[in-house]
Amino acid sequence: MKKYDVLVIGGGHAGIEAASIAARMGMSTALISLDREKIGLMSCNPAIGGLAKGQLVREVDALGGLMGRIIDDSGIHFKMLNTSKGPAVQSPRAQADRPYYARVAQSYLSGRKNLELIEGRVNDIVVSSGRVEGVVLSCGTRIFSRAVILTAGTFLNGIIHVGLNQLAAGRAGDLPAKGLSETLSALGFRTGRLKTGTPPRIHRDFIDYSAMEEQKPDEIPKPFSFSTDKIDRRQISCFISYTNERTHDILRQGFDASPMFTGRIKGVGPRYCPSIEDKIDRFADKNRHQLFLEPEGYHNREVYVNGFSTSLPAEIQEKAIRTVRGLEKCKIVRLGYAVEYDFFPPDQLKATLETKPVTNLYFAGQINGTSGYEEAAAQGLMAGINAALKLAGREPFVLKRSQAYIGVLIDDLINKIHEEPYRMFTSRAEFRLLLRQDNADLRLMDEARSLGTVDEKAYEKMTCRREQIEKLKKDVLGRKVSMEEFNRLYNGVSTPVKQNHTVEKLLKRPEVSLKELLSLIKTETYMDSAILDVEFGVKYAGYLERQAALMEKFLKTEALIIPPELEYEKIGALSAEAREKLSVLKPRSLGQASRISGVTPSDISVLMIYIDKFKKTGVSRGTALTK
Amino acid sequence: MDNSDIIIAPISATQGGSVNLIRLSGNGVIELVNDFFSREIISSEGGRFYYGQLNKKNETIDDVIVYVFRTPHSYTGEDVIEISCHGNFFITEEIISLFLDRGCRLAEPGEFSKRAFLNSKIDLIQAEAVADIIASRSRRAVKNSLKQLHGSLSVKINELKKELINLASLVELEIDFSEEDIEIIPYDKIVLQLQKVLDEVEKLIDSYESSKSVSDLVQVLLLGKPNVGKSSIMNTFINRERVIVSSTPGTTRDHIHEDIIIDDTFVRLIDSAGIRDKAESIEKEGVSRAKGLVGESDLVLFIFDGSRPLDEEDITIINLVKNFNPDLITVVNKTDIKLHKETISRIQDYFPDTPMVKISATRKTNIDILKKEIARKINTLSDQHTNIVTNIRHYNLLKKAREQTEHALKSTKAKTGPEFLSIDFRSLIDTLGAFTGAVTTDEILNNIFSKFCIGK
Repeated sequence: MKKYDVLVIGGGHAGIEAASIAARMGMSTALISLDREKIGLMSCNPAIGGLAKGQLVREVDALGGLMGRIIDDSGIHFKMLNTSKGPAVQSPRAQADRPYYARVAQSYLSGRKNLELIEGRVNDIVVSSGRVEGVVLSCGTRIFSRAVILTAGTFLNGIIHVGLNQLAAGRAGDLPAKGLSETLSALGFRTGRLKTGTPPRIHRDFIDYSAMEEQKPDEIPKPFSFSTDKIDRRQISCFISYTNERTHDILRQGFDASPMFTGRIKGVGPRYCPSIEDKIDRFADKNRHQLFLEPEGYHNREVYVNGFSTSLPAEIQEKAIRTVRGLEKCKIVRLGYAVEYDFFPPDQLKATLETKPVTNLYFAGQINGTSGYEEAAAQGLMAGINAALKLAGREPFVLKRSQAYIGVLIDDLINKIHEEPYRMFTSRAEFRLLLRQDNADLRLMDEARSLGTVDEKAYEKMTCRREQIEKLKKDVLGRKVSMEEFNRLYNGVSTPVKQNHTVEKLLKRPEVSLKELLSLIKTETYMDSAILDVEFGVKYAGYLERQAALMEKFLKTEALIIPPELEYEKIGALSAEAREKLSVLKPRSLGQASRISGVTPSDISVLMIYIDKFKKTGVSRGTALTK
Repeated sequence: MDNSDIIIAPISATQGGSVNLIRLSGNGVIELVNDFFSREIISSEGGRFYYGQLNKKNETIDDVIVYVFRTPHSYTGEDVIEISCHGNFFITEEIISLFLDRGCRLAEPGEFSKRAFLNSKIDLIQAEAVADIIASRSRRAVKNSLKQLHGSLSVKINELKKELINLASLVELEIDFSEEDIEIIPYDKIVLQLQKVLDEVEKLIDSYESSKSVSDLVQVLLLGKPNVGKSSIMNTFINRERVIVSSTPGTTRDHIHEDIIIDDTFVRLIDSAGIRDKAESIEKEGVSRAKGLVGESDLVLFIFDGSRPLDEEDITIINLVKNFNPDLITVVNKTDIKLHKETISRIQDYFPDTPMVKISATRKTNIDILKKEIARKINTLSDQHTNIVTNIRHYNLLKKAREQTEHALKSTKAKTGPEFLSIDFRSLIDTLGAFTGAVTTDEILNNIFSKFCIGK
């Protein structure tokens, strides 16, 4: 019987990346999904990227993931967000042609060497003496493998709520994955319960767009993938409207039949993505809420009403939505619903996303308590890479918080207690200024190259950019700009200078740009991405130095590895809370330990002593160190 | 964390002795001290001591003896300087401040020993003791900080922190939720709020500079209803001891507090009567102020009139004291008049494990016993230099906060982007967090989610 290297369970955004990258790294891989036509389905809103999430997609792409390429091929509305602010907080977002996105994803996978797609329902995971050996399908077939990556999304014990009606399901129209949860509980995994929701989808032909604000896409769409040169697909608009007091009155009438307010839903929902009923309940003084109408494709009739997520009864949804300007005659094609599902608190994972209880079993995506396609994709990619590395006997690949949003994501997941679905925000990244979406290639492609997952053409482009950056810094910043020419160019814009100054000095002025200065001095031509990088470095040198100093400190504590044998329970000098949390979370490094809530600086001092003692004495047990 | 930076701390046990010892350890420490010392020590081979003057900008701080130890022949195994100066609190503090301004860092509790261990100067068992010391000191630090939590400093710091979390939330909102239908705060409003923060920080710095010794003393509170003899006890102490700091004028009473030395320790005696200058009786607004004083004191002398039965006012104060459970001595005054037996047994019932001293303030009977009892108590209190360190640390933190607020103001006025302001606000929050606990990103996000309707 055939034995695979890697089995991926689930064909969502985590599963796609995990399967694709493992296969790319030479592993014989199979992706098992309920329905291969549904691989890559966007079950929530039809958009990829957004603030902080856009950075994740760029990083996934730099490391050899697929998400950026798929959206570049299927996007119908690209927009760079936060363009009024600096490059560090700008993020790309794109609306996808929903059905086409899934088709593109499927075609990438079916073209992938070493990868097979299997249809089936996984009922059981086979584990023998703590090591995963494969899975059992509902038809009884056993499939053997050396590693398993579970990316089951919201399908574990999923329950869908519309009003007081409940339905066991994975997402609208799909059956839930039952049994797996129980299997995993029996293996010693703890589970928790979360909730998320979606708004109704409406028919586009009954929307009066003329009564709404139009949001146009960017004139020149910027691709997500470093391998994409240009996007030339036709771009279409999104539209904005608002709820009003009448809408809210109608929704309130449905509160008695709300599965949330009546306590039927036990799972915790995300506060950053509340249902419309939650919004009007919690922010009663707000008399309108914004709705963002997202088209779901060129030919798809469905329109996604972002901002109107609800699990109220059908008749309330219908009545309420028709009070919105422009939606008076609208028809709901699919109702909004809430879905409750099991997740596995991710402190049960190592930094490689391998589970602590079962060797060679990896978890990625929403089952780890995250929300969002991008967060899922990032985890899928990292789980796939690490499974492949481990099977090949190579060192694990763990990104630091100082290297990538992906590093922040996974570090947060495994070190914190999570009470709501985890979503990425730029504010979570302490080195935000350094982790820009536009420099993901500079940050990560060397890593990808040694993993063997890099796109060679994109890598070449990156090295060329890097060379130009160095050249600009070395040869151009110190050059003097003629006073007359500068004053002519910036006449009325910048205070005139009284002598020739260096490029670097002039660049410190907020209104001065490097590109314009370059036009004043004779140089070779530089690519915009190199110019941008250098300009940013000069303009914000002070802040960047502060981040760099912080990073140095951070890296020092990260480098202090805690011996895994350390027995925290026996270190009397630790506070009781620290002892308990450290025993459970078993941090890898001192830095990681310091980010656990309840671990104080004095606990860290105590740990330092014990770590050094280990190093010096080679004593392998904590007992010898305590009274 | 860093094992090579220079750390400094007083290492002599108590204040008020004739000599204080300050230790500095780390790379470059000999060169650093050399810059301020009247004699050349850079070429010293170590294991030597030098008499000379420590100078700050051509002004002598003190005549000192400087001990030079070269690595590895020192306590920590690093280059070490020990400075022996006169046993005056202000001199000690000035010397420490001098080096803190030059980039030294205050040693954490147990840090010299930790370095000694890391450099193999002490063995496993000793190192364990260090770990225990760190833990026990931090428990004590918790006790200290709890004490200060009742004080006005923490209240202020927490208010400032809250203000800054709000500001940080507003800039994060602008970055992470710019796609939401949310009003963005205008920068001139941020400027106004930062100005307010700066004013507060400056007020705190001023108050430290004008009365910097206050909380470094052991504070002993004389508590009791009117006419039990608080003032006469106070006077008895003053008559017998040298007054170090003149009394605070400008109140309706002559003496609110006096600083004396008991058993080589600076002690500030506080007469709770001073807190009652506006209130008729302690049950009124006096109570809340008395609470504050009890919370801030290191030791309470609870004084009763032994010649009378306990009355309601006594009971009110007893309950207050029991609520706080401070370090306590009960003092029964007026033994020169016939003692009321029931009063004494009732006090003992209320405070069974508390030492009781019977005195006559007017005749000065048993004052020595009371002093001994105070000294005994003081020795069991948290050790002195934790307090000093805490306070110098606070002062330095405040100065850092001022600098950071000024930077934030400048950046805001220059219309710097929110992603940069965020760095200014967060480092300021981190500085304030060092007083009363760190603030995490999650707290900022929580604040955003509770105040703004996020999520389309």
